[in-house]
Amino acid sequence: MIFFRLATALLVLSSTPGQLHAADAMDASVMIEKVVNMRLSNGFEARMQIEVRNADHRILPPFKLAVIGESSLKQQRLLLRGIAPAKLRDIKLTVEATTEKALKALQSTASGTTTVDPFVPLFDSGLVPWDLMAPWWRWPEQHTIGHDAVDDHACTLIRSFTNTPAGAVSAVISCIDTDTALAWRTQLFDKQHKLLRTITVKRAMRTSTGKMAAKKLSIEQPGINSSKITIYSGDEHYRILPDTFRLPSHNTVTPHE
Amino acid sequence: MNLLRFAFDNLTRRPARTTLTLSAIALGIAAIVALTAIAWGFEASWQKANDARGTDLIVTKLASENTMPSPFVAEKVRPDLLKLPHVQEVVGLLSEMLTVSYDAPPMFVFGWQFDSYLWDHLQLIDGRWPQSPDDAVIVIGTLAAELLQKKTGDTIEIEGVALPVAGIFQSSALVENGALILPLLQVQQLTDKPGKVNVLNLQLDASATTTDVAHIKAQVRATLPGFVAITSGELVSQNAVVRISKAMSNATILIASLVGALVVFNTMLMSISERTREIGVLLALGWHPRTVIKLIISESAMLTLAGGIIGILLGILLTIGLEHIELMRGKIDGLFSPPFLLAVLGLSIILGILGGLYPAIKAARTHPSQALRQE
Amino acid sequence: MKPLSPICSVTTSTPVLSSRNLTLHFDQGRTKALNGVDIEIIEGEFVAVTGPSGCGKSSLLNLIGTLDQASSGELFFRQQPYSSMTDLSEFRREQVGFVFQSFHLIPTLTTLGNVLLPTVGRAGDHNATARATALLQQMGLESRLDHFPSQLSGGERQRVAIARALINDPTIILADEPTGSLDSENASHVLDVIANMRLRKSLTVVMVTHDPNVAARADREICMRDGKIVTDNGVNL
Ligand SMILES: Nc1ncnc2c1ncn2[C@@H]1O[C@H](COP(=O)(O)OP(=O)(O)OP(=O)(O)O)[C@@H](O)[C@H]1O
Ligand SMILES: [Mg+2]
Repeated sequence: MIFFRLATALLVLSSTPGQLHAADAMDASVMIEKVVNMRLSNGFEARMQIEVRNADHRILPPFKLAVIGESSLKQQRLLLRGIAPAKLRDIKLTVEATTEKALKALQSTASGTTTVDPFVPLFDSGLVPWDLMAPWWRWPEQHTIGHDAVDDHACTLIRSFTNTPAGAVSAVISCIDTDTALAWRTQLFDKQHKLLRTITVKRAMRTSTGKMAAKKLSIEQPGINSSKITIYSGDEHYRILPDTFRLPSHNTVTPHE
Repeated sequence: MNLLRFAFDNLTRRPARTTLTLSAIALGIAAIVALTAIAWGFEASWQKANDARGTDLIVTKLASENTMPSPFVAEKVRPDLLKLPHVQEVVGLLSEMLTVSYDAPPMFVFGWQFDSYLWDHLQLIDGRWPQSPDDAVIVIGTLAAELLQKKTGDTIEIEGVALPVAGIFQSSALVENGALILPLLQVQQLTDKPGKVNVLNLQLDASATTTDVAHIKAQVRATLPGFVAITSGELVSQNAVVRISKAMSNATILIASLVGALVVFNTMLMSISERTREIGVLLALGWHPRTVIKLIISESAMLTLAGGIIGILLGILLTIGLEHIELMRGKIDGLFSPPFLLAVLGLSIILGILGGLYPAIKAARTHPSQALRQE
Repeated sequence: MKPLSPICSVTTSTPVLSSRNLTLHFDQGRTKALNGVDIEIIEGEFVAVTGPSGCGKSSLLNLIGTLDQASSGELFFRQQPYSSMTDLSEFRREQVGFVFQSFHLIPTLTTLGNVLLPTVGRAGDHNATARATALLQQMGLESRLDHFPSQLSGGERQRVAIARALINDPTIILADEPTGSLDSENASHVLDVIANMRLRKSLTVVMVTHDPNVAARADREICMRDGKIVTDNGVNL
């Protein structure tokens, strides 16, 4: 059974989209609503294997992560958990975002729990916790800027922009499939419009709930590395328990350590 | 004077061309044989696994066209299933395809309900079985043992957890021989799917008839929304990989046949055009145009028949070769049924007849006096 | 010129072959290969057809042997019009034997195989091989049964071709320059064979030739020019 059943898209979660510019308001708003709806979930788990290739083409040993998540219109929460190799099993990371509060990330290891910068990639890969929340859908400016195709999948380009970025990313161009609301490609830029990274869905599949989910992705960070992500297992109806997103002994360690 | 002998001699007189045509046809037929054998073997192996387990019906959440059953909470449906007539046992199974070693391709990891009938058909050849649902040990199939180079007492890391190999078993199904099996509870814990399975296996009592099976299927559909009850054969034939490999083998049959017929067509057309005068002689000697058609078709059919025989042997060798490639170990179990091989031979002959038909008719229409004037 | 052979005078005077105003045109009538030929050939006759190149000799032979169809006029075989024949290949197989200047043997077949060719597809013919061996023996080729054409001399090849023409006991032998490719010694041997066989099997022979010496072996010489018969046995027409 080479039937990895995948729960939900990896690039998950979003909230109410920001205000739209009048000219392309209709077009973009309809699209963004679709994207947001696709990302709603009462609970899911996705297990992925990540292979990183450095700028010097050296391939690092692959590692496995589980992403557990929950997403409503008001709040999104993610738990990232190391699976393999064994030394990653103690590492957990939660990311939380609500419409009111800013995005917050916590990491627990054997030595304790600390708040962490959600913009720092995980385990030297291209996977950035902040990206997983797709916060750009809540930014004030959203434009439809054209049409493109990614590996023969036709998609609509939407540019999301903010003047007050929380991190380096201040503009995002997503190529959204009009039928399935899947972002085949997401490009993240900084203030100087330098491309920071590109997230491309290489293979997607339709899940039992009818949503499209990525099965294979790549994250390219120009000049740094490229990551190949394969989602090999999952659960679309993961049962979220009251303590699912609770990390052991909060605030026991200072961020410095 | 034997027409077939004459046809054979005509083929051997252009050894290079005949060999070339023969190889093209043989390659096409080999591709057909190998891909079809693999596709069928794949299906049969799964079927065998289910049959060996003694499973009559499978209840699963068959969702979308390209995926396999998604996990669900077993206890939500198990009690209802047990209430259905003739149902004797309802046994949960959780299967995953996981990388357990960086040197080996992903492998099947099965979680089987402890103490269920599923285990009965396996034959332990070394070590021991898991002793309880909580026994966190693995038993591995002979092929898996070979691929992973593990023996009883070694450990295997599954999803970051190192577990001891308690024993090695053998199964009549290749899929299981290449798999790692643990008590269901262990796989549920390892993959964070508490209480979940992706398949429930139903065993019916001996008195259950096909109408009873149909009745159970209908009951499941009516009372358990989102679930289906299917026979193992149906599950296997709906499997994406089985379907893809079958589609591939069908496409290969189509393309290879087309190419084969065209190659024969071209060869025979060349052959008759350089033998125009000879065909004129045959007609002058009183050969009926029908006899000329028979001659040309015999030649092309002989060519494709020989190509077919070589192709079948080549295809069998190719499949056996593929079975022994490290990457493919345990995934291919070619199935060569005599009716299929006969059908391939039949196909080769049909290709010859189709490819030779136009050249034969063209030859039969040769104008004898014109042909004889040619030097 | 020459007395008629005893056979033809004794047997019958009904023609085995006759034609009426036979024409054969090519290139939409621009080439007139035959231009009104009337001929009668008696059963058992040995007829030589002579004339300059391109006068229509081969054309006449092809029409008699049904390898071509007349543009106009009619041919008769034993008073039966050709146009009423339903199966021309059967007529060729059973009534006609062709002998060509360049032998036209099939190179992949042995002597025996070549001789047996006309028996392919002939229903109920069980003793073909015996007949072929007997014929080849009569032609002094018994030691050449398994030889391929490339292993035979020109004279031998032509004798094999004659055997092939005779295998189904035809009524007529149509020979188009049978000695054209042979030296005089072999030519005379082949002509002996034809003459010999003709007597044994009461054959009618129509033979095209350029060579007056060869023509002299026949009972009757027809000379053609420009698609017409100009003299018949020396008599101007
Ligand atoms: N198929 C054909 N197409 C066009 N012209 C033809 C064809 N066959 C014969 N002819 C012409 O018809 C005429 C008679 O030809 P035929 O072959 O009967 O002559 P022939 O007397 O046998 O000559 P030769 O002694 O050279 O063999 C010639 O001018 C020839 O060019
Ligand atoms: Mg001529």
